[in-house]
Amino acid sequence: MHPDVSRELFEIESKRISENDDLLLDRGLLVLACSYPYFTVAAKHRSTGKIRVFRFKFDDWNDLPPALSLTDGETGEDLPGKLWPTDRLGHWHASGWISEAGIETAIPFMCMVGIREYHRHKSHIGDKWENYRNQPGFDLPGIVLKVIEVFQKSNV
Amino acid sequence: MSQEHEHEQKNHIGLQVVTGSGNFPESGFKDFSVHVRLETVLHEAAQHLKLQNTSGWVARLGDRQLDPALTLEANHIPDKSRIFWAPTEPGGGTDVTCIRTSVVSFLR
Repeated sequence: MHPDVSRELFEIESKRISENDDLLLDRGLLVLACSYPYFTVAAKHRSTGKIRVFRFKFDDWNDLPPALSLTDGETGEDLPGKLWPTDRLGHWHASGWISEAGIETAIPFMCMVGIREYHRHKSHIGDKWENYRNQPGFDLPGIVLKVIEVFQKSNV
Repeated sequence: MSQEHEHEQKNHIGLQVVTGSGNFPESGFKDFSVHVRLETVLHEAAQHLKLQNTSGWVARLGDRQLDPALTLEANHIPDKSRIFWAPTEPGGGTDVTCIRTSVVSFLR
């Protein structure tokens, strides 16, 4: 994807979240940064009240899905794995990936279709991003909002 | 206010459907009869927002998943509610080791 085209697509799609005050209010979101290629959003967990900051990197969007990291809201540093959400559905990997297929990702990551770390892992190599990128729900707002909903169902 | 008008008002609630593709109505709330099925509201929202394919989408009020086949009343939707409507989130990695690793982390 040409960088200018990627940037334009990012700017059009990211505004569908960042400029939708009703959506932000309803979902308890605060957009902290929206500057290509980064989209950083803070979310408040409805059950526990805890806040987590999600930093999406949309470089080469949408030839590539976004990379996702969780960051410390005050320092901007990567959030230690012990502070990542957990669930029983295999979405969150606080200590990277320990797999018989080999350790592919040594840092905490989220394992979900539409997230770069998922698609480039050996175990999901056959589940290609190309099969999803033009499907409904896999545009920028769709991916960001799915991550937030999975977070809301987590045990953070 | 006539009794008939008052009764009519009680049978209507204001709703807004919010999605990643925009809102219906764009701001504020639109009145719907509480006897209307939620799917009718969602269908109107899909048409207004020009959503192409909403199969598999889920409507939520806060954390509570709503049933499109039921009326607004049966879904217990209060007046001036925002309904969040979005595609279902996929599960995590389906690889068994992936899930096992996640459970081990959870139990630590």
